[in-house]
Amino acid sequence: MTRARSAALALLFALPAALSLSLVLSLAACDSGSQVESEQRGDGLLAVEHTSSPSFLALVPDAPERVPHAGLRRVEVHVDVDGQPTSLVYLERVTADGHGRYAIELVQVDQPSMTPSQLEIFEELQRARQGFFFKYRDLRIRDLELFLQNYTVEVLPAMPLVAGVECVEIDVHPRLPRGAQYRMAIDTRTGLVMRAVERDANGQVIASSAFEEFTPNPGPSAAQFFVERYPGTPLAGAPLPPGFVPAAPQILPEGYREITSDLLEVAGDHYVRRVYGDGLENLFFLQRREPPSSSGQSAESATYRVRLAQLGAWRVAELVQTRGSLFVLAKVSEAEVLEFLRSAL
Amino acid sequence: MSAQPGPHCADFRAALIARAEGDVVDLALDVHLAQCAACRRELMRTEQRVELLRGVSGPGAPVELDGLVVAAMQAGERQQRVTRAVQSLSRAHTPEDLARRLAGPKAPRVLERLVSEDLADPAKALASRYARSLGRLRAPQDLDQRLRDLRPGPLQRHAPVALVAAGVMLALGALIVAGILHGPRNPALPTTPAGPVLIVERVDSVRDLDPLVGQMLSGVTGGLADAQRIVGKGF
Repeated sequence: MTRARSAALALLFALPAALSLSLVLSLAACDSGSQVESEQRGDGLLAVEHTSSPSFLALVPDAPERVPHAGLRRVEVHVDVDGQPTSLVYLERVTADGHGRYAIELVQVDQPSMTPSQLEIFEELQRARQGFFFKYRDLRIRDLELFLQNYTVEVLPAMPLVAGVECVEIDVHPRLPRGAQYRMAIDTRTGLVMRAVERDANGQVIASSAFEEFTPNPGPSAAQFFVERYPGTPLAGAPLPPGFVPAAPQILPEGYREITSDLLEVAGDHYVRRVYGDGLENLFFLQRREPPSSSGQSAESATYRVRLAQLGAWRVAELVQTRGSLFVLAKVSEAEVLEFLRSAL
Repeated sequence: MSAQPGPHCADFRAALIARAEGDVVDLALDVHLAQCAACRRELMRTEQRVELLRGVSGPGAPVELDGLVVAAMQAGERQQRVTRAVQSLSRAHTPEDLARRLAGPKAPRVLERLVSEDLADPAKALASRYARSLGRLRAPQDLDQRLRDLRPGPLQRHAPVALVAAGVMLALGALIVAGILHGPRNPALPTTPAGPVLIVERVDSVRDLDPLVGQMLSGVTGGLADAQRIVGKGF
């Protein structure tokens, strides 16, 4: 009976104790959250708040399309593949006419070493991706308000020259513990990002791009401007093929917001493409309409098989079902990817 | 890009099957896949079929196997000598690629475990099987009554359950309060209750995923995934 009495007592005290403990922990968490927003620093750097961002930041989001420019840019990507450090380093020529037209041409590949025929294939594939590179690969502030909600900015005292252009350099830190750190050198007159470096949580450079030659207002160009072969139609109001129900994820990773939703038709294949952003990084969601005979889980199924892989900071997930295969690509945690995907079912 | 098989698709049929079975380097196929949606889809289907074939489990063990194993164990010293001789054989390693290509039907894990246990300690396995095969006898009534007198009362019996319940309530209380104070993670969107179940399979290589994923990854990494494939370093 003594044991039974002890158990009953434990039961009686358990709930109030749990409530008290949870209250203390939650208040502590709230308090620490409010400290994220730092202000003035003693080391001469300016920590930028939402209400006091330097005016040149407002120029950044549309600068690549708005500012006529041309230049030679070095692009580097470093990731571990199967535990082996792997790099891609190349030079590309960027040309923009300031009216929304642009071209990105591969000039030379430094790493990995390629034979002429390999280089030819790579060049062809890069040419087909100019649009994606211009819009999504290159690091830039894409939505200032959203960016300042999700990142803090430190203006560094040094003003480096990048390809002959005097820049203001900023360090960008995510407010959420997502691990990445960014440094951007920005031409304050135009808002163009002249140099961008992304590091992982350990401070290792995982991606960078920097102009090595730069020509403002280049005038008429011989460059062949990129023409989007599959521009897509905004999903709202797009004519959907019969039986194709666009999936709409409901739970986004914290800080992310939907930017665009398109319906693409590529030679008879239909895709829903949704791009989400946190002001700087992007999350890509793709739904491919599968033919009726395609094997996959039925729409009524409550259990789905998801395949996950990781490449550097990127996590990718795919899920096959009869309503259409779903693909997610993002630099967020595995749990966030799965929650996002589950909310689309 | 094309969704319907083109005039050259048949030329890539063999290469496509080889790719689905693990062949990595084929630049001509890479270029064709980059341009042909029908072949990308066919590659995905073929990879799924190959995977399904690899996952086919072998036929179940016959019910007589139990008795056969016991009989074999009872063969005595000769059996033990054979076992020791087999165990002393040096292990030859199969090349990784060969093992992957030849991965066929496998014995159920439970059978592998049972056989391993039997081989590890034949005497113990034999005794255990013998004991399990004995018929149950009913205890005399007076012995049953004495045991009944010794059993704990309902409160004593439920004490461990009460302790577990207290623990669960503690955890629930903490979660409820945390949820009330913090609210939904992204206030712009409604939270949904626990939805469909996702069975997660982590794959080592992006190549194991749909070709479309490789293209997406190549886009965000400036072409790295393509470059690695082109120079034959996998993905």
